[in-house]
Amino acid sequence: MGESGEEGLKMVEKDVLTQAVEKPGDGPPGLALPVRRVLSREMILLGFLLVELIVLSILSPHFLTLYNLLNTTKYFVEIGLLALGLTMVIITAGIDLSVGSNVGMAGIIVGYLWLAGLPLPLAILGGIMVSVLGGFFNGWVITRLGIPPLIVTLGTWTAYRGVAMVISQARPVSGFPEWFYYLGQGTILNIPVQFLIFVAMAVVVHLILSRSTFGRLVYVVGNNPVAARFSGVNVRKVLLEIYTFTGFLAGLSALVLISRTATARADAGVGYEMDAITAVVLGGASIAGGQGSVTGTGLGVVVLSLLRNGMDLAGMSQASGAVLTGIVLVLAVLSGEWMRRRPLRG
Amino acid sequence: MKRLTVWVLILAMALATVATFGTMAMAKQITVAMLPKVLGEPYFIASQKGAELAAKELGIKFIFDGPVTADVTKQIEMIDNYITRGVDVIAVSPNDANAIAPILKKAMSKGIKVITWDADAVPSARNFFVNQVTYEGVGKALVDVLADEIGGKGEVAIVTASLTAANQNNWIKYMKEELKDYPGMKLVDIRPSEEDQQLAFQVTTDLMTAYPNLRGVFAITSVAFPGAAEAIKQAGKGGKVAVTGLSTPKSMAKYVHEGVVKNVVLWDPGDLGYLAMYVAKQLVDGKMPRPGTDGTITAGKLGKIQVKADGEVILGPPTVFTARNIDKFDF
Amino acid sequence: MARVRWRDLMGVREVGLLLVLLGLVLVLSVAAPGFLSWPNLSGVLVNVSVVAISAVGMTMVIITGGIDISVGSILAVSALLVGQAAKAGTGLWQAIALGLLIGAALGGINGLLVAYGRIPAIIVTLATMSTYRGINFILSHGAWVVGLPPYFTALGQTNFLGLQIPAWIMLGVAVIGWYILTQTRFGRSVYAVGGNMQGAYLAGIKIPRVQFLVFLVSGLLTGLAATVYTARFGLVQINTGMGYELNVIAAVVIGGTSIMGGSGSIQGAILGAIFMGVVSNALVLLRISAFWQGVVVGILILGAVIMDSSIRASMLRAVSIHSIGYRGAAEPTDGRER
Repeated sequence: MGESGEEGLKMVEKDVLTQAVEKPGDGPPGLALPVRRVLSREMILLGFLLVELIVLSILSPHFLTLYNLLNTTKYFVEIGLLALGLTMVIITAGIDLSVGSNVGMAGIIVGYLWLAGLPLPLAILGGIMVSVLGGFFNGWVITRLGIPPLIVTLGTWTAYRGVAMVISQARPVSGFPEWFYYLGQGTILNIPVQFLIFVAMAVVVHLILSRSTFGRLVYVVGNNPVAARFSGVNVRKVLLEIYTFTGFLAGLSALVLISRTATARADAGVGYEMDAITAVVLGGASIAGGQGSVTGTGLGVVVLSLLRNGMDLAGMSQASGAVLTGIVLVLAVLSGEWMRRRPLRG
Repeated sequence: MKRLTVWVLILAMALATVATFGTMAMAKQITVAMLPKVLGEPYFIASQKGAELAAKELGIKFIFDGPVTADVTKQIEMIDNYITRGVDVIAVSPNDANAIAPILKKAMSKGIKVITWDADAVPSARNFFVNQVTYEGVGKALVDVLADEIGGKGEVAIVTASLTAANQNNWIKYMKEELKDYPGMKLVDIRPSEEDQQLAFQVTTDLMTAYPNLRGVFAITSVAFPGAAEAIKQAGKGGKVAVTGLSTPKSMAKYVHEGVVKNVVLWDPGDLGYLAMYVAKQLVDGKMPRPGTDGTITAGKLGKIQVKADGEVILGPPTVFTARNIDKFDF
Repeated sequence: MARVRWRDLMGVREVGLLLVLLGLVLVLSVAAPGFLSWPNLSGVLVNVSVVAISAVGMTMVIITGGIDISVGSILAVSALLVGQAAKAGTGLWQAIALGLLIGAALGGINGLLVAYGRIPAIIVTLATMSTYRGINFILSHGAWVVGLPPYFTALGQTNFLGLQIPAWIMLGVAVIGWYILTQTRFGRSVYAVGGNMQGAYLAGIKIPRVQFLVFLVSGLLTGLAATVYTARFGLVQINTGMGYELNVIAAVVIGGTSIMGGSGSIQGAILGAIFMGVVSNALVLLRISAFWQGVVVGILILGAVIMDSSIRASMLRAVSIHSIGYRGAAEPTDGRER
């Protein structure tokens, strides 16, 4: 099967930095189609969110109330935090499947350090350190040993969950001191505390990606790693930092989850990676790399969470909800792509 | 103009799909929302049928729905949405006793009555727990049945759900207690099957290879039991390796008639759901015994049911299904 | 037809994994009594057959640069409908055809949306994973299908030349898949679309058609896998195939297929599936505590891939790049495969 699929044929290399600013990538990579951008993915998602709000508020009188909207933000957070990290990872054309398992691992570390007699703040520090280490290990194997991110994090997806199992022997920990529950159950002006944390982290990641040199490097690495290396970008360092930071976010997500559910479980966060990836790609990030934004991801998280909330309130069964979620996901992207590809005046 | 058309089109499609799948809630009578641990298990479907029957007898508006995977965080989200919708009673089989507690307390603070059934939450987070059989009763029944089959001697193994499944872990605890009465029986391994029949099959096959002297298997989930029985059957070890466990009679009848399985242990999950609805109704009507006192309630076709001082309502002892009676049960 | 050489079958990618697998087998045959027996080994082959059949389709999808997350849900819907049909008394061949048809239809929907709707494959299949799973709950009303007739379960349980039929089906599918991928025009266009889309476009390959077809094949084979699955157990549960997609993808990528597209092989995917099967078999035979399972499997996956890549690297140093062909040429240096 040798003669087909020449990988060596490289695309004409453009100036690296202009590529990053342009954010190219409508349609299949490299296909020169006559496409002009009319609306950004963010604008389209915003429009979609409006439609969603209208439809759901017609379907349930309980949906469009201040209480419900604020209350629902609680459920954005754990997956939202992971999605922030995954946004950066996916922009570099990487993937991190281990985030959900890292949540389980970090949570169990917090729980068992605390059970072992450590004061809770120290236990929390320990849990965060382990999750950071988990992220760092992913990045280290990916950058130093040259193994593709998908395989590395598939391995650690299993392994980190395993660590949580070994340490806990599957026994959950609960009965934490009351103050700790503030993080996941408390409110400030009726706004759940964890939502404020999420917003703060989102702003931080947004500023990093859109305003800092590091952020620009993230896009460069995703767009054209070869060119990035030739122009002196330390690709390994950038990747290592991103995976490590994603680990940190997983630790934060674990804290919020333990606090909200008052329990550290070895199976906490199972399947979160898929939910987070869904939000990120709905938000316009491309798994081929180079594309994605915090605004998009944030909107993706909100669109998906409100959809689930609204369907529940409208009395739809979970099974119908699953069917509809898929259809809405396709519709959202399809309508967006259709409008984006539309010529300017036609 | 064209863009407007598209938006209208999308809106129309969304509305159409929603209208197809949605059913609007219209509350006037008592509304009870009942949550199983997970959708798609015959055990919980049987409970649903029993509960529907009772709901009809009592004029209850009945909602039955659960998460697609056995995940406590999904249950929490659903319950929070039931609170927003405003139901009178929430009856839940929680996937974690502690994790479910904060949201149940929130429900109680909003005047909603809370019942746990099949599995309990921490007692302070619910009004009553409708329990099928005590954990001890299940553990004892399983061990006694298998000991009887293999003459109280030999190596045995357990195929469980996931390692974190609370009910299973409680049963295993009491099974270990009961095994102390049979010094000839040795528990050599406990393996998870993650509610996956292929994994249950594979693990049971591998257990027989790893422990050539294995005499018995406990498959203590309704998903794992048929998988384990099939593995023993296909290995041609029916009769040599005994297997018992918890599952619905209908999914095990075939193996019982083939002689691979002699005894299936379970209670009637339909009666469990039925009882939960009677407790719900009497709770709202203020007819349940006051907390801290023993008492009894009358639950339709089930007659008198005992209520313990700690809020536990107990259905009764487990049933053992054998070749003689297994075809009489329709669940 | 070009002459098939050994080197084509066992390229650099496959040899690395093969050596790792042989090493594992060697260790196990010493450490785990009962491992090196035919009933055990053939049992492992039968156990991996369902995943391996899907992995053949998944390999093609991934080579084009796509991914199919919906296979677990396709498995569930197909198994349910095949089970219901078999219970209603359809013939064996009709049941098999039905499985293929349903799988192909569901896979075809994925393909249409990816190829002609121009939506990224990961979004499409994440969406249909959810939708198909929901459909499965609705169609089944949450009830299992039990008591399938013996003529049907015979497909999953009959021995033929010492090996149960599912393993033969797996081998058959693998050979056909290998032939299509390496010896036909279609196969070459699959590599071309994933390796260099611009080049493929310029070479006149109908890219959407190729993309549509690989998703169709992925669904079709998963439909076949569902029939085999149903016949093996004689009962269909509702949660069938939860997490199945990651097992299939793991088999494919451990087998050396690049997630970025353009390279990979069926042989590799089958070896990957067998590797995973041997590992899970070994955990029980070595009597490793179930709590350690996750850690051990994770380490073994990473270990296998790291050893595999270092074996490949040293082989590349030993042999000149030209004689091996493109597959080893673009070695990733920072974990990225482009």
